[in-house]
Amino acid sequence: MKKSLLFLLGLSAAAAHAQSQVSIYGVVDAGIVAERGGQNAPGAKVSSGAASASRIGFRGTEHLGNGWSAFFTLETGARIDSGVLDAGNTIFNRQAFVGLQGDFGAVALGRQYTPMHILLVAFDPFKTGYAGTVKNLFPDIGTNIRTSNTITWKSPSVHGVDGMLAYSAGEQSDASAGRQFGGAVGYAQGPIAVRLAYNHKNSDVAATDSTPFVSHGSGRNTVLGASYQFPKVKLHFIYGIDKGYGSTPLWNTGNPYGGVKPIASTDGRDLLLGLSGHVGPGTLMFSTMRKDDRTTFDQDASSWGVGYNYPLSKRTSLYAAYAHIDNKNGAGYTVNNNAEAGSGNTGTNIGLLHTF
Amino acid sequence: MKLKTILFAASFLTVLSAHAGEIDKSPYGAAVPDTAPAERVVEIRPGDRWANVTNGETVKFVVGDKSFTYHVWTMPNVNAFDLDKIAPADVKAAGITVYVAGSAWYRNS
Repeated sequence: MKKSLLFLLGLSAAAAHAQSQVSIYGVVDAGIVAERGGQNAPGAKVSSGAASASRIGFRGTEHLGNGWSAFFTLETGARIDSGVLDAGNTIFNRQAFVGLQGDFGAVALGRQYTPMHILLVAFDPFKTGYAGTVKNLFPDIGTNIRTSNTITWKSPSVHGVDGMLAYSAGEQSDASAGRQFGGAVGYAQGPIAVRLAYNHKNSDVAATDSTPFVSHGSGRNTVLGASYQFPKVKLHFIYGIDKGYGSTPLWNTGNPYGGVKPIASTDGRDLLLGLSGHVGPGTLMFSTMRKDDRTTFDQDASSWGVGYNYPLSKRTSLYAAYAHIDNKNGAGYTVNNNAEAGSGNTGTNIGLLHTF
Repeated sequence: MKLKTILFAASFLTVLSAHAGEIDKSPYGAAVPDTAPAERVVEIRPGDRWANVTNGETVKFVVGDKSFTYHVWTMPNVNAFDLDKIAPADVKAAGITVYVAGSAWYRNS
């Protein structure tokens, strides 16, 4: 018995030695979210993840020699206002992948962020969080954020230029049904960063024994982001072109303002202008956005948001944010945050964020 | 009563400041041994004015025939800093700005 125990301990030690670096990390974020303007807006409530979705993750790297390494990430989201998982029956809903890294860059397989979402996080002054999130008018939702069954390749950065490719299998009897692919190329040198991303999602549903083939076609998003870091202020720019079915899903799929239910655009243009900078001990964030719906419904919208993050330490911050949307011709855009769809055209967040 | 309030406030502040002393408030991160494995090697050549890194990375900076390794972990409100603020005294790092991109670890949804 003792020998077995020693043997197991030996195996554990060997495993720990071979696994050169494993980290537990996460975000716990809770605050008060107040929403106004929608027919079902709840007023004030305690919410999880308004600035940054609450999560816990495990990350590891093993150095294999000759510049090669293996890596993995397993990350799950949870709502700390109630303790429930973000997604039922899914243990690692946020990220789950394993990969190899070397001179060629990095190849990973599993559930991963899309190239378009990575661009939006990098160039949104609110980093896709808070009431001012780019999600309010840009189509950063669902499989535009992350996809399962995905193979990615990220190139190394050469003279500031890097690229990324992603392919997600639809895993249906029709090979093209449900598949998604995308890519990005970027340039970052000193204070300048520019990135272009493409996202292509097929929304067809293959026929089964009992259901016919459903044809929706594909949605395409092309997004350009740019930023310039001055000593105290950073300027942000994002422009998006969204075309086709499913290219612009609405965050709030109900009918938040009553009347005729809003129609998700199939031909739109999105623009963000913003800035972030040091004011006092913290960071001030501001953006203004415009959605130009070029369908016959002409459901345009414009928005603005402002926020402030006050760091108590490297890992703990207090924050406050406010945003407002003007919907036109029955458009149904709502003020979201990093974890919730929102239910009105005005939103306020006051919260506490800790990372570990 | 007033004295008690002052004593309570003083003791509370003392506890707070003792606690604050344990918090990592180094604005840019921490130096690590130059032999530590680095995720990125950044070579500073004559005439260079900047370097780009990612928050959370361990970076080996090579300046001429000198080098040093640093784990970059900045305060949330620091996007850029001067390299000579973290470089050892014998490394010529004046005039180089380090721009820090956001960490993929805490990338939002």
